[in-house]
Amino acid sequence: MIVTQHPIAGMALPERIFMVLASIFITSLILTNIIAGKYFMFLGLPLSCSTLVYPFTFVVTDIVSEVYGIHRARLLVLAGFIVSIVVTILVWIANQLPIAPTSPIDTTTFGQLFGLFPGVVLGSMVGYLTAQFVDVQIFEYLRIVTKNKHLWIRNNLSTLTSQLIDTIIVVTIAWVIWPMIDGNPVTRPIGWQVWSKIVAGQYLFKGLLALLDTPLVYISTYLIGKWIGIRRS
Amino acid sequence: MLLEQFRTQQPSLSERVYVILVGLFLGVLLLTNIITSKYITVGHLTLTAGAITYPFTFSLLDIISELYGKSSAKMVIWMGLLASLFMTFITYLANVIPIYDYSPVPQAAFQLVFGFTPGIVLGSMVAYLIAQFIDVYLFELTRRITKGKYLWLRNNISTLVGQLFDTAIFAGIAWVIWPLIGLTQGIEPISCHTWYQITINEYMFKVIFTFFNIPLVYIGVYLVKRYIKA
Repeated sequence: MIVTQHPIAGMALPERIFMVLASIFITSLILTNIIAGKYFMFLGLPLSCSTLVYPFTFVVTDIVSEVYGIHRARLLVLAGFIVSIVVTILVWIANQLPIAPTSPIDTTTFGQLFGLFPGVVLGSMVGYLTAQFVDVQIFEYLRIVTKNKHLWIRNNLSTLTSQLIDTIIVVTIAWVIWPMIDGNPVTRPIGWQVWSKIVAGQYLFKGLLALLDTPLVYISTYLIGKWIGIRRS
Repeated sequence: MLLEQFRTQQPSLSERVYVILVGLFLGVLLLTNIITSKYITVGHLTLTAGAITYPFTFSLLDIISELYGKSSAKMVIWMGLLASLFMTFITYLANVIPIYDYSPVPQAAFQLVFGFTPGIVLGSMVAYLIAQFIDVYLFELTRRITKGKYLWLRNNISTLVGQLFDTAIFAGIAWVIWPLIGLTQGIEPISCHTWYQITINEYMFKVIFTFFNIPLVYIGVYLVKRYIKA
């Protein structure tokens, strides 16, 4: 599959591109969590502002996995996990600190935005882990039912179901459960009507994204591969 | 080694720690830009919430520089700059999009926090550049006055004065000039007195932190070195 003889010692450019990709991943991940609380209308359904940057995280891990191997992609996910936890702790501390009377931002405003932050991070982590687990289970179950045939059915059905579960868990933890239990008077849980609309909007967007993701990753991988001198035949 | 072998190889412990350190640097830097508009009271000092987190970016940068070399650290600084610009662009976009009626975070809170972001990023860049120039200029000036003697004196004076300008310019652009320009709605400039107060307090905090940073970096470098056995 691979023809080139690329000496690892002189890998300055590939290494630098890896760091750029890693930076894009971390930046997009942090931004995703921070701006998640604002929703706008998209095709008649509410959609979170985090959809502006969320896709970057997927595209980057796919590119890294393709160009640099799955171990580097996993390393990025691990780093993202650790950074998210550290940032959440810092946000929580910043939220608790006593405010000065001259502050440009008042406590209520700060609390409305950052009070929800731990719920968003917690929700996405629980959602992600559960979805991965469910995905494997459904895939296995369908494999037995279809007697090892029809890979595309298994693949798509398991992904569609796990993504729906992921969406429900994230929205429920971030906007319903966390505002109830965080003991912060300025954060309020959303109603079930809004909940269902948000879940529908988010889920539809994910489906759309999955379709767009494939050509994007193909193009980016091709370009980066060409740039750092990997030739595939 | 062929690239195909590289792809299937586990990243070394040193590489893993590097990526995590860079990730932490970016995470803390971006967070600082956003939370810094909340002023807090610590004892008798009025500080920005960012003052609690911002110093860690310096410690992390020093640790990266010490363990992985100056060129790596420089690369990280550039990544931080790009990440800040990217964040400014995205939060600006998110801020101007018309909001959904039942959004969990109301528009008033969103635009108050992110309305300041462009000013904060702009302010820290301009302040950094000016402070660097003043630092170099003062160093030269004192070198002539002291006739090339007392390096430690020149070094400290130029850094201290440079830092004072950095703090004052940053606070001025972020919380006075940017809100006055009015490119983002819903934010009010702070008063002259508040500007003066926050500058002096932040400056004192910075000077104090500089001394704490030294043992922090030593401990950090020691721990990471022992962990990755470099």
